[in-house]
Amino acid sequence: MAFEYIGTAFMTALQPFNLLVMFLSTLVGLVMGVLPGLSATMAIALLTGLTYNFPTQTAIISLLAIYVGSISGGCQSAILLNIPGTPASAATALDGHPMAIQGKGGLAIFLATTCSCIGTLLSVVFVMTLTPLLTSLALKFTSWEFFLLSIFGILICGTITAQAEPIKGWISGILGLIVAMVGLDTVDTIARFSYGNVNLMSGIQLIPVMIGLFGFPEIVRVFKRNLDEEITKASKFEVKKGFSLIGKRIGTVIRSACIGVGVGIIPGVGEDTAGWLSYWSTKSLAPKEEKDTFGKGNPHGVIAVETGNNACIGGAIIPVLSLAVPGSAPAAVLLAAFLMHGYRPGPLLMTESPEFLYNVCIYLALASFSMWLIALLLSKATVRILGVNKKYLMPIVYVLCVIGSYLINYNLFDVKVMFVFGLLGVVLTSMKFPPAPFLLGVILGPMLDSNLRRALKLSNGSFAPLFTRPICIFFLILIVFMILAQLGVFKFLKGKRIAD
Amino acid sequence: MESKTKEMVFSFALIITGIYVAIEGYRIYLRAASAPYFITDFSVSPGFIPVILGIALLLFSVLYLFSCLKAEGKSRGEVLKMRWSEFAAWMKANSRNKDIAFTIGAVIIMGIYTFVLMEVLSFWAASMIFLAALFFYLRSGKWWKNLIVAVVGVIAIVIVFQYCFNAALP
Repeated sequence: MAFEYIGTAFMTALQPFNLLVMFLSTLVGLVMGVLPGLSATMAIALLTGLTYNFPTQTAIISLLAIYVGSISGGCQSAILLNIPGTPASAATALDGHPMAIQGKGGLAIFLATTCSCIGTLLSVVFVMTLTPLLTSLALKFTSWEFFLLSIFGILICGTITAQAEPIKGWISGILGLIVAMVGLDTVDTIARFSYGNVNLMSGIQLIPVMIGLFGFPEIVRVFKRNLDEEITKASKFEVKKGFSLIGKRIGTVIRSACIGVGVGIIPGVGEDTAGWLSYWSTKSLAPKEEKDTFGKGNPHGVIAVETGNNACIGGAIIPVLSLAVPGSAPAAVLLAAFLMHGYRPGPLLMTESPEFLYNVCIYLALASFSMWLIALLLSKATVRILGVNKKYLMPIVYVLCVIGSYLINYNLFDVKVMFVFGLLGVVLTSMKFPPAPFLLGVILGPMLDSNLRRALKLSNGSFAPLFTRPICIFFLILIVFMILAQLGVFKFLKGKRIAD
Repeated sequence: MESKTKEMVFSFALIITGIYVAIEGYRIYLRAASAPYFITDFSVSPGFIPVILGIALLLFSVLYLFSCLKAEGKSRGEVLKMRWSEFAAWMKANSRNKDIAFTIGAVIIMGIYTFVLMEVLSFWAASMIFLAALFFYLRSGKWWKNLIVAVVGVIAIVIVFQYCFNAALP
């Protein structure tokens, strides 16, 4: 059966129109990835609204191609400009830019692009094998487990995205959950936080919130920023040398891909973390004499980062498909897009629409090939793309944000929602509150609310099952441990014991 | 202004939001408990989760406020006073900050486009006016270049979405 699904997915993807959409979407993703300030999340968020009128499969192909393209494109500006196009490529600049200064910019771009392609392809293998396993585990989940899973997802996303101050990430997640409460509740259809407004009664749409939170702050930032960058030109690719370097470091490639997939599976942790972790592991395991060359143009640094961050794409999609919990911020947007196009990711996915997993895998694999081809061709024009005046580009991007928000329901109210959440996004960003847990809160809010209340109705208002079911106990221990650890309770107790 | 002072003011806004959400959640419970719903059990009421979220936001915001009020060798009361005076000074100084005023001006143009122009004009007219206005405001380029980019940009968007994607624009 799986082979039949794979064959059908290939046939669908190779239809001329879908192929054209894939190439164009990859190109758009790459351009957005190349331009500093336009993130992968923003690229998917913007294009989600725009693919609303596409046939479902075409839309999925387009969104996955944009995801792969935008994550991979960031390396080119990191190498040529020393400014990563996306946070995912931040670590690429460490060795990529010194390589460009040494006149090996072309080789660095070739290595980065090829490893991005390999990273995505390896992650597809994990998506295909791990998703059914995780889905079968998730079938054991009842309403109680789903309630705790949504809390755990938001907490871990908040902890990791806010880094030094997890409380900011948690507050951001709670704010998202509160926004998800607006509208008629899913169990009793009683209006909450609607104030008699018919538009609010139907709830806050996810896409305008997402575009506002991620796109608006980037647009506003350009109004006050004067970028004065020095762009290094790309030299020749040195294809033979590039392949030989990758061949010699196949261990690094596989290790980085595993790290990328592992990081991707953890809810909310993004491609940037995967890139940094891959770089750190490669540097740590390198021979003593090689360690000093990292940060000075070591091609192995570029290989590790780009394999790791692109493998994170597949990793982040695994929990989306099996648990309906996104593994990264772009994956959160992708989850919203899947829902918008009529798919219901989660434990029932393999029962309701088993073909979807194979579709996603094949589309991802083909998108990575398309990215490899277009990225290498595009690198010749990267210098020009990076020279685009952002004060012309960003107002046009805002018009696209308006269209993206409007097309969800053909309602101007959603455009206003996008603007309001955009302002909130600016405030959150300036206060260093991560927007990813906020978005996750908006996505997981209905799941948390309906599952807890359904569970309480079944148990006649008793919370006892929460403390008797094994998976619930596991999640509870994790949640309590995470909160106490992040609030420094363990450190405090340890300090007290030493003082005693 | 020191970022901790800004964060302290923001934490107060979060505390107020938390209190409001909890109260509004309780009001939802009262509404659900009366006719025609009669959902009297609080734990299954639609107001239950909002109350919990309001309380959680309140608790975390208080913890966040305490973290903003940490300063070596000073009590929390002294730090609170110091932060307020810093905030007042910052407000006074930034009311004349040209960079902030310029950004706010651009956001106002975006707001006028979103809330006014889109309501009264067709998409292409509203967008052309918006783009031209914002290009001039941001001093993106020469006046004729601004006008050409605004007109060509909107025409391209209309062609792609209205004709290629068959999407009905406002």
